[in-house]
Amino acid sequence: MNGWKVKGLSAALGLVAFAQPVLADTSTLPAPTRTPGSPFIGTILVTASVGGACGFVTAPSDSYTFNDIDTTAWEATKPFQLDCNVASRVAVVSSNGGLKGPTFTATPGYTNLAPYTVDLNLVGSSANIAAQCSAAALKDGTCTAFYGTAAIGQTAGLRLASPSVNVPGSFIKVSAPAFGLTGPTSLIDGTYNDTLVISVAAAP
Amino acid sequence: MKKIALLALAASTAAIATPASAQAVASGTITLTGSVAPKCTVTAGASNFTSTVPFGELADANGILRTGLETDFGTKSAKVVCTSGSPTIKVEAQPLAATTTAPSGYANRIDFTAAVAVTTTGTSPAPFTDSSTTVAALGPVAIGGGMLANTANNINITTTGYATPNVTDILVADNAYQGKVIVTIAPN
Repeated sequence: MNGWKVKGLSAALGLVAFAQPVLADTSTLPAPTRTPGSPFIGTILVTASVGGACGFVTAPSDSYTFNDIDTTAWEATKPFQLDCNVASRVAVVSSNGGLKGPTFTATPGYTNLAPYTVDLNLVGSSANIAAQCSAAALKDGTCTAFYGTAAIGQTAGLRLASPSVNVPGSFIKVSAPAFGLTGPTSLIDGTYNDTLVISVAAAP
Repeated sequence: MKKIALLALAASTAAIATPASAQAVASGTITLTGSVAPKCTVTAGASNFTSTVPFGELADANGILRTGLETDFGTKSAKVVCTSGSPTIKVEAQPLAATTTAPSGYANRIDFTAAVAVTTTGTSPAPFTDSSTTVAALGPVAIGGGMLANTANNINITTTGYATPNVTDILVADNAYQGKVIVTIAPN
């Protein structure tokens, strides 16, 4: 001991600002070293991580109207871009399982529910994926391809195994042929409605 | 005494970055609206049905109206589907008539009654009838009994009561006796 006093690094060293988050360092810390006369050198291990960030550049929300669905085929395509820095899942739920018309007493030969098909196409930076479900299966859950509500840690939804940040090409499409007038079942007159909720969550 | 400056890290107010949490679920909503107009259609998407009945010779050997015209007409059928739950019907029978003038004791027209039976999803109504002797048609009147049954031949047309104004009338000669049964079914 030569009389020199070295105040240890204070606890304030625990308050450190980092300009960028870094990946966790799992290497063994070297033992503190000190050469007499030189500053005391210590190493502070700091860990940090970045969770998956996932959303839509712009939410795929829209409204479409189709007239004379009993005599005219119809379709609509809503493009969108994901904003996910990890793999993701996109899920869809239909509120009515089809275009649903006015309430009426079940009558043989007539219906108030017009079926349609939903196509989901996802494009990432290094992978694509597509699947199709009926609106009915997006209500009763029988289409496991992408029925449900996307949530972190859950498996509902179509998984895109690639980040997708501002990559164009993803879309959701709804379509149906004319229901027809001469089949075993005819649509009753009136206004028909359905709502699709499309959700996305990180799925690394 | 030499002093060693404390290694000072001035960022005393800074904080260690905490792990960023995963972003919450994002969603969008697509609303779909469709429509079906009130309408009635005949099988194959047509808006009307037609049929022709070739009665041939209308008079017997004595020149008066022969029998068997009801049988010759038979039953004319069609499938009509209406998207509405309250369709109406109008029936109009027009006599078999010729343009040749008929003097007393002769006739140039044959009257009859048309009956239209409609099958519905509920209790089917009685047939809707109209006689060619009345100028006005029957209806439009509500068919009732629920919606038209979405089945083949849910509309059946027959005729009865073929007659000249007087049973002894002799039919004037003419190659163009023509009559009609007009059935109009509307969605409301």
